[in-house]
Amino acid sequence: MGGGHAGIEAALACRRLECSALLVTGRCARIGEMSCNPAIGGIAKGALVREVDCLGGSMGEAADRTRLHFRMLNRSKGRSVWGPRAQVDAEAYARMQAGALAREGVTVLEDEVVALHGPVGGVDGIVCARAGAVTGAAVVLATGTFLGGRLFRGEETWAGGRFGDFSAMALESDLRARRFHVKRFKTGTSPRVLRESIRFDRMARQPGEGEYSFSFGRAGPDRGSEPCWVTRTSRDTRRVALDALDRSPLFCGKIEGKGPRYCPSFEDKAVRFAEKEEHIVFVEPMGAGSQAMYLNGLSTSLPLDAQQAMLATIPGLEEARILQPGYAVEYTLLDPEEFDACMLVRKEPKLLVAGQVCGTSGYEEAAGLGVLAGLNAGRIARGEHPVQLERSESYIGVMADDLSSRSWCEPYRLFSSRAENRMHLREENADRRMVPVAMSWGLARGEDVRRVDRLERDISRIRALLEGTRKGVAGTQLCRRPSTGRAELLGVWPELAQEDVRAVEAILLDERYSGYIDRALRRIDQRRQLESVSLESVADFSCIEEICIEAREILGRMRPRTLGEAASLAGVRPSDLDGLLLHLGRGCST
Amino acid sequence: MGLDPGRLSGARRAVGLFRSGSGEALDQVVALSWKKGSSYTGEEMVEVICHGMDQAADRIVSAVVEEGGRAALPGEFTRRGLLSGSLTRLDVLVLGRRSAEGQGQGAAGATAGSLLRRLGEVERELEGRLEFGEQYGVGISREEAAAALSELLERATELEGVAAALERPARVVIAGPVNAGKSTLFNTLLGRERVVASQSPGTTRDWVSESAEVEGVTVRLVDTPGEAGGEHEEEAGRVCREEMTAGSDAVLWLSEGGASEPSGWIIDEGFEMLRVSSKTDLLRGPGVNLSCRTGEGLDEIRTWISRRVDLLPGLSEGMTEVRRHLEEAVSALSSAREDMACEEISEARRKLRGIVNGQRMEKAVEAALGMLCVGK
Repeated sequence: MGGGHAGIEAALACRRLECSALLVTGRCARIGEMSCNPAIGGIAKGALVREVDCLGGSMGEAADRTRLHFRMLNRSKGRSVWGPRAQVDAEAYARMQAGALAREGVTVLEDEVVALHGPVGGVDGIVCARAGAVTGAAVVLATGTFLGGRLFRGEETWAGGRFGDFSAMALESDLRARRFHVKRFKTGTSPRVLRESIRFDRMARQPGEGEYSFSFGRAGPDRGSEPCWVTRTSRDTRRVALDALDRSPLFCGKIEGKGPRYCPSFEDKAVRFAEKEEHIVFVEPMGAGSQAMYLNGLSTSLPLDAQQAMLATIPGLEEARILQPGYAVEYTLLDPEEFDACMLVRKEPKLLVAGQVCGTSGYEEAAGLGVLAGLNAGRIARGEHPVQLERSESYIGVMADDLSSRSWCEPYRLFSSRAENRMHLREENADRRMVPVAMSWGLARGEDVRRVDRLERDISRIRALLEGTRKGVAGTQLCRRPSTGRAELLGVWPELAQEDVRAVEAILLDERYSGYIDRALRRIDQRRQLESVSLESVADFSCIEEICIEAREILGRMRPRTLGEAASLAGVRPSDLDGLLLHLGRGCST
Repeated sequence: MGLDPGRLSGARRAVGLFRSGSGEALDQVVALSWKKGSSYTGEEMVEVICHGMDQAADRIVSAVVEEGGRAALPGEFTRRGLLSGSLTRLDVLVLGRRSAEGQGQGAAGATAGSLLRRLGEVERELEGRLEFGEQYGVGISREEAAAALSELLERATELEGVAAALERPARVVIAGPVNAGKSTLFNTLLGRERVVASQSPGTTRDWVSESAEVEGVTVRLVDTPGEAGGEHEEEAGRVCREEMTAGSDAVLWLSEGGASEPSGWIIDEGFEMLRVSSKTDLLRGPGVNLSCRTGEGLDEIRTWISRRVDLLPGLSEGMTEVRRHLEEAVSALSSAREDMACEEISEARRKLRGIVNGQRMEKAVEAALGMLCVGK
């Protein structure tokens, strides 16, 4: 269900497992649409796109083939946090994704899903408005912002999942009737303006840089580069926004859903960061030669006149003509307690979820969960048990685990810091991390398997060489020194010049980060041990004498399900965890 | 309470007349008001500074009590600070130690609590720089982060010194009436004839303290002259005893056949005590029955002593690790590796949190709280 970034990858993953896949969407013409800014990747997200690619997904290749502008973020802040990010031609990208569906043999049905099919606990399909009941071995719910979607702009509000589209109201009622725990989130988007009406001479030009492809070894033809532009809001922009607050749906209480803290609307920023006089705005092309430019950083749901007045205060946008105003969308999602880290709904053995319906925000997050949900849908269809990805091995694993284990109160965005093992989860080694598992699950491409195989063989050979000692230092030891780069290494081991550059680089990075990675793995292990201790048997925290009174109060209020959850609560100290363990031990022995 | 400039920055100041509930002007005062989180206790608080005469202070305190207030208990402010999280256990220990040594608050005011908080802030700012810096043009600059980190490294180094000073072996005092066999036990535990022990009462005239290995842990044993017993403790003897027992952790009360009740000061000052009946090859008594001649009861005493130690195990070692991680962070930042800097800071924080929240610190903290006066 859904033709967005999650639905597409889910359908493609099913096909990789040689299951037939039906993708139901409200409008075929908008499959793969980039409803917000036309960019793929970023910090952590770039690595995530590569993980999707190695699991057989199409996002990376589609971005590579429609790229207009590329930047490697954080190039000078440490290799583990490099963030490849590409501006893409939004229309071409969507066409590319629709093409991938057709090529891989996914059947596309344009219809509205009005309900799940089957009894509670035995969902086995969907009911469409026109096509009627469609049953299958598994159902993936990837409704994005369409489930009970409502749009807001100033004092206007209307039903819809995206500007110009309807929303899935009937399906939402069905989910509520089935007693799923649901909640509401909101997100927003920026105005798009007419390219000709922008004074680019008043903005800074930001050229693209470098060659890169998300997909390993399948770079598309170079489409040339289009620049982005940078401008800034001023104190006047803020004043305009504040003046219009009484007509803002966010601030006069029309929207109850929580919005993303890390991608706030401009009016949000104006209120929350009163001390900041200016905010950066990136002006990004929606497509090659497209007349529409996206104003990244100016997400807003203020009334149209206020949006226009805000633009008038921003250098270069004074005369800008709005093609599509910014708006906010509020939508329904499933509470995380409803699904597990395989993306499987706990009470429905054939129902899976992916994307915003499980609380994420972002195209890349949606695609990552889409692959996982599609993979498990396929496995269920083939009678195999569902699988999950390790936190320590992939951002997808971090995301699925985070989402399913905690109740989030705002849209979940992936950060590199969410991963304990960030030093290992690099975009550079995504294929080494993912292709082996992808292969064991039948998702990997043959060419990827062969390439990673060759690479690993090279790495072992070079590593064996570097175990030796020269000039009194073991090669691996030399790699661990902060000042050692490829050049320094070649100075001592000149024969490595003939070796594959990537293999040498991989060893350097693995060695450089090995201490951190070991530590992170130990932490993940400890956390898993804590998670495995259930606190369900504790009826009353207030009478546990082994822990301090403050902790008793906090635990009583939050009622964590496991020791791991207890550990993550502020105010609960390590000594309280020891106390809890002691208490549990006593409870068992009596 | 002492005001360091850093602490003052969280306060609002006002000068005015302090009036009683009935409106009578009591004194001209300076009032400092702290918002939640910025005061010593971490609570919302008003501090009133009045003129130096006892009279003025007394009148103000009575006026406040009349309006429903109450005087603080000794150490109450610190205890509240601990509960609200604005002070850590380590800080309380430092305060206790300084107070025992008659010193005021440290000049730099570096507390483990504030170090932990600032490290968290710097880490968040650096993470912000990593996640949003280039995409949204926000976040701290590398130079700012480096400057902040260097300052925190200094604070950590200072705390490391404090921790080393705090780390010490437990002191166990062997006390009891004359001729109870204290020196014999002392020598036996030491494993050598450090003091002269004889059968004639009152052989030991001086306090002797020695370092000893008991069941693999180092403790400081204190041998004492026998107590004459009775009501009348000589003034000189009392002063001497107070000096020698200050900072001690436990007392072995020895008496021949357990005949003598422990002295009042042991109970009054809240020492942990083990009652020992000595010379039990001659006579049985209450508590542990000890005979240095047959070796009876020695193991029991050794075990008891070795359990008193572990006061602050690995404290300075832990702080050294914290400092090293911060040094690594500074160096990673200077070679443009924010990712490693973040990892190092976060490891330093984890270590520091482990130190300040350690369960084994509880006992020492309780003792330190007991050493504090009203107003702390």
